[in-house]
Amino acid sequence: MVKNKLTASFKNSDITFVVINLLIYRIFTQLPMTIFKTSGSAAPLSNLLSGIAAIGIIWFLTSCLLKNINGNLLDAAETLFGKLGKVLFCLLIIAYLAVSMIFTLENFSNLIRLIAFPTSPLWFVTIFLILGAVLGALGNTHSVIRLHGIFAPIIITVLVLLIVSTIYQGDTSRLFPLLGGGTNSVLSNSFSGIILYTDIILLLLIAPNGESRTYITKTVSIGAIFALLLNFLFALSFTLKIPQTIAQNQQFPIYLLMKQVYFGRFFQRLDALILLVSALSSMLYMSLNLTLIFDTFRQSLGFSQKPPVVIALGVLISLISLQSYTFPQNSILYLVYVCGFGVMAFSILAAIFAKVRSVLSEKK
Amino acid sequence: MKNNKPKESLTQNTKNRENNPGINSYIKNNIKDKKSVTYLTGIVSPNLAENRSFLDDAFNCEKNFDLVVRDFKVKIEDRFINAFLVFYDGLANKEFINRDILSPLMTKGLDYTPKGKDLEEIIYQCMISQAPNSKIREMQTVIELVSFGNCAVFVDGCNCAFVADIKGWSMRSVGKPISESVLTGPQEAFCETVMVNIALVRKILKDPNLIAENIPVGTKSKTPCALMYINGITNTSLVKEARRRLSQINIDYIFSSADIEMLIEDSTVFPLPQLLKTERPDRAAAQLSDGKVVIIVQGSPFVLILPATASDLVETSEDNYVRIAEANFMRLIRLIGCFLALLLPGFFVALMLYHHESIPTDLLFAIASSREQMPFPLVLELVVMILAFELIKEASIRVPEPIGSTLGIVGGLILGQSAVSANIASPLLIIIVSIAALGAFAAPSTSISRAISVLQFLFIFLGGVAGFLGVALGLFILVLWLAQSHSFGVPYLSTGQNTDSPFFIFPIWRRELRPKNLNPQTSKKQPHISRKWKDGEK
Amino acid sequence: MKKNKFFYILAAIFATTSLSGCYDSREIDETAYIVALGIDSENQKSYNYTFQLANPLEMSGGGAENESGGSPDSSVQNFVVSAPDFYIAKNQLNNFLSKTIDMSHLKLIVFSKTLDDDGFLNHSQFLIHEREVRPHTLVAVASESAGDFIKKVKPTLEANTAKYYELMSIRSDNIYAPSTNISDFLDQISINNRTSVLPIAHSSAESSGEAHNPDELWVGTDSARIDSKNSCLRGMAVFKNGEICGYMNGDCAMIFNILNRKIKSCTITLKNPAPGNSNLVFRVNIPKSAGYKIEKSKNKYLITVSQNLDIKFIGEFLPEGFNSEDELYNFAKQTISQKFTDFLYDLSRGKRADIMNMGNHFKKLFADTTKWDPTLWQKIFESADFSVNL
Repeated sequence: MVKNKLTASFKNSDITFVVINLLIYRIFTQLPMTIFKTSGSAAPLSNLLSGIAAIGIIWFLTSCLLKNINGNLLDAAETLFGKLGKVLFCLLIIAYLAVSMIFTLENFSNLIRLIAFPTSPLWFVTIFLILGAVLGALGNTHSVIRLHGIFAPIIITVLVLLIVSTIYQGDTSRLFPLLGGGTNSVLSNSFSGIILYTDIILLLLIAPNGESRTYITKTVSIGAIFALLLNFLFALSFTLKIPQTIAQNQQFPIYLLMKQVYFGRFFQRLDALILLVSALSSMLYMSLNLTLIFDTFRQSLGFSQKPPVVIALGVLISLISLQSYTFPQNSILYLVYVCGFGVMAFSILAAIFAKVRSVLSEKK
Repeated sequence: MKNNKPKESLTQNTKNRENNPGINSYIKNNIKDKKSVTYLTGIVSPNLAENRSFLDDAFNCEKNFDLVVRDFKVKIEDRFINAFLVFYDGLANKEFINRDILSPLMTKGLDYTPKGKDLEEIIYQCMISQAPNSKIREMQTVIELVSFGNCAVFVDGCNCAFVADIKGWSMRSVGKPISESVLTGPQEAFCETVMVNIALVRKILKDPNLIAENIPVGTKSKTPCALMYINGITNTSLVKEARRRLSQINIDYIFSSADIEMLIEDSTVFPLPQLLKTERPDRAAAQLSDGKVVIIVQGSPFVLILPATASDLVETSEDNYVRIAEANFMRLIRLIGCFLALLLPGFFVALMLYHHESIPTDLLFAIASSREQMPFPLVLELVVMILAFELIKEASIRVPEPIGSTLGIVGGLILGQSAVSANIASPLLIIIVSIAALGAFAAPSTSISRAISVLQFLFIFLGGVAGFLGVALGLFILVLWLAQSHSFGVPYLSTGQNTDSPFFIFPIWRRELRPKNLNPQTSKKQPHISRKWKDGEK
Repeated sequence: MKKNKFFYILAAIFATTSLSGCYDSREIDETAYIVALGIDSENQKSYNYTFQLANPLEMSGGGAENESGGSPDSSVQNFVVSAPDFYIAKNQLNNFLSKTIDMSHLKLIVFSKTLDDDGFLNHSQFLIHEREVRPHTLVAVASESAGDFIKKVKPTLEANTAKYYELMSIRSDNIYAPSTNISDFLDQISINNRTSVLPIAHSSAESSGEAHNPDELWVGTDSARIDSKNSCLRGMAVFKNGEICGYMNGDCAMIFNILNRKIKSCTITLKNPAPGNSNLVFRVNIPKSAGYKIEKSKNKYLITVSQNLDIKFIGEFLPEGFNSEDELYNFAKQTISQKFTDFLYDLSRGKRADIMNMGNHFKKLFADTTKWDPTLWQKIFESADFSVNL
């Protein structure tokens, strides 16, 4: 066998693409619309502020946590808060990942159904997505990361095409008044907009195995800046192009924006392409998610058999997402907010502790 | 002459025999006389009759009419010693036998016997001046060598056989490559003989570090396989693994390199080839210089190069013989061709069945008017046309040359034209099938082309079931499979060159490093400035 | 075990895909495509919907053979359905036809001018929420009956009617009619005090023009007539609060397009004040859209419209009556400014509809929506004075 010098490592470029997919896949969900509806004309500004805050958090987490702790985020939790802390954190991570996956699966299934399968039952779409996710998770983490390196550029290209084809014909008067509903509204939406980027935590679970830990902050930052710029441009394009009256009644911003694309008589629409990349993006995210849920189970509870855990989780999550209409309205969305901010807060706390510890140990 | 060497004990020889299962089974299956020393020990006996009897049984002399056993007498001074030689007519060169073995031993003979030398040594010295020769004491080895075209001489009183390498079988000369023809590169191709093939590679590389190990494969056929690599460049663990896999093949007969490929590749189910096959010595030499391993199999003009990754699948030799822009453009065309072949039919089905809004309005109405007369559903029509095309492709391989062009006319014009006129297929569908087929032909090797032809059905099926969602699932699963696969430890989707991108190449003066994914012992193959004549190069 | 795993996965995929059914799979020849839709009001409780469906079998090269208007265009089929709302009409048609209706290639929606404000608003909402209807579908108001307009459309230079509609909607040089899509129209009429314009669809080009006023210096190019019974889009209908508050001719539409930079160039013909001389024709290039400035003096607002125009006289020699080029261009500038000012006053005092969306320009001066009041702006607009700087 060709034995490479560095075993079990991912390429930096693949890590960058993982970061980008983790930070842009929520464009396809209904999350941005919750912000667009309340922000109105100030949506791009809110998004920009959220992005800047997210970059700061990401930089802080990668530079403080990964550089000062051996292993991944769970090892960091154990080092800093002991075994109980690690178990609690593991449970929180698993809850977040599971809820996020349910939300993602539900959203993407509804979006895909809306684009091209109006009369199909929801389970028809869900089954394709969950099958891709489960098969992806049954492989090893390396292959899932490698997939990101291959598919993420396609997703990015289509999104850039969407933005470019809509942004130049927008009505700039829709951006005014700049502050939309007021300063308070902008700031509160900026804060809640951070939910679009909480999945960066997933990277902290795998990044330690990257090709070069020295450059991990740079690798992650490049990806994060690019993804956040894409998010901002998407928000800008949406605000310029979509009238508020129409935006109020729809669930998926990308669906509205996609319908606005008109290239001419030959290549008229991006619907099919958006469907393709949204399916790919969801499968990428969910397979990574399932892999990390299993890894977290393994690290905390000691499970070693992957296929039964992954398949069982996949089935359970898809059943819950199909039945989500029976839950109180927006309950899953609120759970995502709670778990997402909880995980983010815990990680920031862990990063602060790690930084303080390293400063104290340096002084000694 | 007495054999001065002490006789090995029977017990020891029996133990030797037991330790060598090959001899055991062969002797058990073929030798009737189970009482002779030769049978018991597997060693050549000084008794000529025993050896004769053994070989009669081993070679089924009564039935094999092409096996020649020629009795003669060796003249030594003024006496004659009985001897016989055995060879296969058609495999050994009879002219050499008559001129270089029989004539010296029979007619000229040996004029004197130097003191202190035994008969074996005398006869060996006499024969060696005429032809390559070796003294073989194990019967099994004698049988193998005679089966491979050598001639064995047994002399009464000698407990060894003198085996002369005078192979004289008919073989094809070095010709032109059939499946990898290039316009501006060398026009030599491998042939079926392993030694000739090794020589073809060696004359390009001229490196004393180029090693060619002989690993016979096949318990009965003992097909020689040459494992070639460059010492000091190739990763030693790769060589070790290749050697391990080859030597642990347990099969009776090996017929070609395709058998070896199937026996040593990581996964037989994997759709794409994990070892490259080439019939060009220049390509094999180039891959060896990059740190890969080449396996040459006797009887096959295609050699195996390992490991293979996805980026190797779009390379051809022509890329190195044309200008860079042209080479990159051709690579791009090849890549586009492969993607079109794989995905175009699936995309077409998905668009036609699920995404009518994405089709331009004029085109949509043109398609609608043509499909109005069609009796079959789209998917069925597409599958039938693709199968028809595959039939034509398959038939054209076996059709005799004089009527080959006629088949092209029949298949292409008449069937296509008639299918459209009879409203069995729409014109647009014919175009889609043709483009997909041409795209498959653009693939650098036939194995990739065939793999793509099989995989496209998966995408047609998925596109027909769920449109672009199904195609996305198919793409995801296929790329996942590629990402999880390895070829001799190298990830299949790993990029090769350090300075090049996976799919495009740079000028030769910029290719400073060997492929990183092979982890070669020496990664640098040229200094940063390789064009010393150029002023100001940095 | 690995081999089994592979086959189990393959079996899972096959079972998933083949047993789940090909929902939403439609063959192209099993679908009927609507290319245009006309909505007329029959009475207070029902509407006449004219669905124009493409007939692909009849679509071949070339347009209609005669222009007499007698023979209908065979590349389309028209179906008129009377129903209380759009969805009932659509279901009726679906029931009637053997093929499934598809609206993803709908190119034109024509409303009748007799529709009430609810009719415009409701139908726009229904259509925009249809998954298949594109937001950039062209919308127009028929000068007579929407159904008649659609039935009389007969392309002469195009292979089929859908192509004709599509070319009409994407062309950027239609001077005498604005181009409004269903998304912008709905946005504009669904908010109070918001205005919109739609092109007027004439069933016959012969009847679309207006007589020229000989005293006016601005030679209305709208007065030109085409000797053709074919339909055309010319002029615009002005909407306010969701209903039509007035009509404007092709010249006004041209001014609207110039001020909004919907067209990049045009020609303007002016009457030579010196009697007995030929008209003066100017080529006008529009580099950018107009800028607006509002000033307040003594409780009165003055809105200054600044439009950058690149005017060039088309002629070799200086026309009679003008001693220099400066005099000529000053005359042109003055006449055009006057025409633009009359247009703005008509909007402000006559129609009372800010179709130029000047309000949006002034929204930029406010930091957030709490301080911006559209009602206040409407009052300012209706009482302001206008000045045009070219």
